[in-house]
Amino acid sequence: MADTEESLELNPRHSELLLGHEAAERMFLEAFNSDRLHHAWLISGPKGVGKATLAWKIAKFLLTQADKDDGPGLFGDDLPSEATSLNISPDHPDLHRIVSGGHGGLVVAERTENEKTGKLRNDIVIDDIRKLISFYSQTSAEGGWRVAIVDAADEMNVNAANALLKILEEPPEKSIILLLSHAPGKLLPTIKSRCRALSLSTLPEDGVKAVLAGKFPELSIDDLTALTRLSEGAPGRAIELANNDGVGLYRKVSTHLSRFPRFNIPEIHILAGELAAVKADAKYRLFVKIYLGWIERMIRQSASNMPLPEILDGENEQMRRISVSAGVDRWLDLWEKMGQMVARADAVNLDRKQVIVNLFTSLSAVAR
Amino acid sequence: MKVTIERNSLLKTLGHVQSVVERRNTIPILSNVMIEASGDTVAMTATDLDIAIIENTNAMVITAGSTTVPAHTLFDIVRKLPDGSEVELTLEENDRLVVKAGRSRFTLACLDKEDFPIMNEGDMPHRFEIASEELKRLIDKARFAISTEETRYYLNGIYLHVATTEDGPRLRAVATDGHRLAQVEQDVPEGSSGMPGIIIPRKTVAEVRKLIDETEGAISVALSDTKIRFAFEGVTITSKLIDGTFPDYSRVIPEGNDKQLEMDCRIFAEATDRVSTISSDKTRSVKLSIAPDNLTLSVNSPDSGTATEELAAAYSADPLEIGFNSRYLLDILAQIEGETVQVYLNDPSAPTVLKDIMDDAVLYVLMPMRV
Repeated sequence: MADTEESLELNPRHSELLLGHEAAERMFLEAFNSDRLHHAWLISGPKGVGKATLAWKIAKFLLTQADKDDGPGLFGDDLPSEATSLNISPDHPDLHRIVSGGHGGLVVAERTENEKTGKLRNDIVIDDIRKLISFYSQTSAEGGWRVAIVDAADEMNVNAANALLKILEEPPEKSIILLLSHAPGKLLPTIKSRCRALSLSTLPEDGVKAVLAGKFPELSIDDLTALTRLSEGAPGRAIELANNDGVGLYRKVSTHLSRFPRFNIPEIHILAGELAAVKADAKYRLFVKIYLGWIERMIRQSASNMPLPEILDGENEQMRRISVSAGVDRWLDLWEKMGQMVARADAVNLDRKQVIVNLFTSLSAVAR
Repeated sequence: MKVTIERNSLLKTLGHVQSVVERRNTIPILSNVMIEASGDTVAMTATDLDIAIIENTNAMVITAGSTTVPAHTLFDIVRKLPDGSEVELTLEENDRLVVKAGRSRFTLACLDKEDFPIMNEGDMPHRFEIASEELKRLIDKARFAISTEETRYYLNGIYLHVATTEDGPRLRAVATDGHRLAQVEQDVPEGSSGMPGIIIPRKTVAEVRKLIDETEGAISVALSDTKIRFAFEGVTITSKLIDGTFPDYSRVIPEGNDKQLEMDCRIFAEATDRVSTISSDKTRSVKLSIAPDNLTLSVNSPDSGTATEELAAAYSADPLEIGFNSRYLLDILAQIEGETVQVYLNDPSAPTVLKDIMDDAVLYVLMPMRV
């Protein structure tokens, strides 16, 4: 989830609203109530689906659990009280400190800034994981549960992943490690085998709409629908899109594509110039996602002959018009090449403006 | 909140508390110091979630209150203020702390006090007092051997416990990194019997050690299975402990080393230092060729050359050749206060014991190197 630089309020640690994952919550609660809570959980699911929000919810729940054991009571032992929900009172005195990072029972490993360059690293490095190791090698600061969140486990480099194995194997009592993963298949098998899996599936349209409407009450119905469909069931992605005017950008992309195969090159140059600016990093990434997503939908539609729900009116017709100009195999080929082109541009720092222009021209080249 | 504090006492307090605060901090609240003013004192608290330090200073409190501000920034401001000036701290409505001294005026952004971590001490059933000199000795003579390797995390601290010896119970501090071991002991302070063996983390050892230099009287120590608290005059440090079992170190202290070498500690240290100049950075090994009443130190490095030095020594057993890491040897020799060091050897591959002739309460074990 920490894909773009989020503003603070959007960080999952603050979020209280978690929709559509009741089953996962119930699974965790059952494990908790059984008194045999597994010490490592792998929460997986697409980006923006609510993995981090769930992890924070679990963390808040565990950290505010009072020590149940008051010793034997006068009238026999107390009946074990079962927790019925992960929700905690919003007035809980510890909540503040959990959210601000001032709680001694919680540690979060995420990508950190490289001191030399001042930039956010691409990986979670071994030093970030060492923080976890020293956290678990000392006694608990506040008594009670200790929670570690790795957000996201996919971002760990090899050394960090191997360092994590050691504590994943045998953490101290009353501790839990929550690993978040967008692509659990890419994790080390040794990590996966030590975790209990909790996979979150995408939300139905209504679920995403409910989250969006809660966060952005001012959105129009059209935009709401467009955002929901664009997000593909991941509310976090919908919020990210809404924050960066994803619908506006989508409309622009769609307008340009509608001129296929004769694109308006001067205007594309202007758009590319805007997106390639240093400050527009988040927008550029959004554009790439939207653009490749559009092509992907087009291919899916032409291959399956099944109309998908339209994000903008008349879109399916437009996609059909473009897709008939070449075979599915050629489109697929192109889509794959486009992905590689974008990845290479990042790897060797190619001019982003040229990448964007190329994305459009390669499309019309297929038709020729 | 509005208080006036004399610059030097504020600087001293901040100097203590800010050293706990990590320079690089991803969590904003952890780079802050909490200031609480009430009565006629100001309490300053800082923590890194492992160690919490609280210091009280006298101040003129005009209105009571509390807030948190960046510790290093405040410290740097106060450090640069002229000696002897009066510093006025005022918390304004909009969550800004105004620092005024003479003609300088600073405003600092505050963070909510509610966010500030609290170290939950829990019950501390074991309490005792220890003279600062004694605690200093326990720390100094043991800390150099603390391991920095993270896989054996239970070695990353000083193991403090009450040991049963022939002379009755003794308070003992042990540290080891697997290559060398330091053991220091002293009489048990009243109240310490029955205390659990605890491992004090390296950073806590360092912070406590810094404060000892400024204290004279006794230090009160309180501890439980999970926490330890050191109370100095006006300053209190509470720390987590290392959650692990210290290995049974007594098994690695050899009993039957019968070859005894005695020599002047300073001369030995200086000579070792000199010959080790030649040894390569990686191994740093130095060879000791011991013959009756004679010790030859030698280093042979294929890259840079050779060095030898002969020393007079009291030795009467069979000649022996043994190698040590010169760095480790020097660390131990630096801790020996008496003029003469006693080295008990067995064979070139067995652990060697070093003792201070003036102080039989300290003991060091050093593993040899193959040379």
